[in-house]
Amino acid sequence: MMPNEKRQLETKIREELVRARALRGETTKFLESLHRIANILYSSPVAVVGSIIGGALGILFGFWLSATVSIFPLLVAVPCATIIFAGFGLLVGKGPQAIRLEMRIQEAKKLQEFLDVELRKAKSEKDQKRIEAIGSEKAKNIELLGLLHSQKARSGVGKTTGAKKIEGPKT
Amino acid sequence: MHEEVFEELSALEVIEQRLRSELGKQYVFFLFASVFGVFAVFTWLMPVGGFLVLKVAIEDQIGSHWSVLLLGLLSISSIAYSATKIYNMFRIITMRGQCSSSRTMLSELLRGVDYDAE
Repeated sequence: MMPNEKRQLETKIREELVRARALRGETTKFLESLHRIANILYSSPVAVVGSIIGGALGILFGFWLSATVSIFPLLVAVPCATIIFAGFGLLVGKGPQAIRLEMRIQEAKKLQEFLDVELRKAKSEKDQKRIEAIGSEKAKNIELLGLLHSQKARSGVGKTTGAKKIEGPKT
Repeated sequence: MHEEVFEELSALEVIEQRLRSELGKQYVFFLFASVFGVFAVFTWLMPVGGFLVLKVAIEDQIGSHWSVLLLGLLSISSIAYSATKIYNMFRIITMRGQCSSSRTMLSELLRGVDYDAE
């Protein structure tokens, strides 16, 4: 292979690498957004208790409803009522917390963006350290980043496999 | 460069596996919602046979207006839920395809470099 062709091949590989990394980033974000609310909803004792109580009430309601129905009573009324009640139990148990956590995550993201901008503006090392200290103090106070990280770790999304940072094709 | 490409290939493989498992979950939820939705829609809009009996029973318990409202809400929400699941599945399938083709492309390009080195 000529040196020129070899260079072309390498450029192609670099371009494909950049594309693959962008795709991976997009996919990770998508998976994260899918997992976020679902994880909050399903992974709490309050939600589990709520759904069990809801399920039990649903079964009772289903039997009560099916007492007046002559055709496939147990097949329809009981499962439907159970699902509805258990779903309400889940939502009532964890809905407000899910919304609150989602708001905190958004706040954390805003804080991170703000800090990134400030760090980029900082001229000296002293400035940088000061901004980092302010940022970490703020995050600690409102437990934002901790929550964000724990939530991410629990969902198992956003884990890297040791791949390096995205770099553009070298010219 | 070999190392970078290998890392990317393994990362893409991991992502593909995650997408596959997510697709399964979305499919189960979709089936669940669509079966429930079919029951709700039939009881709400096309009550015949057992659905009619069920509708009458619900109307007896909570009244005609409330039963229409309840069944309508259930039908619409389960249809909307099923639609989001379909959209998610479509996106997952598309992304999986893209990941797979990117992996193939990278492997082939790498093979070209290896072939030249030999």
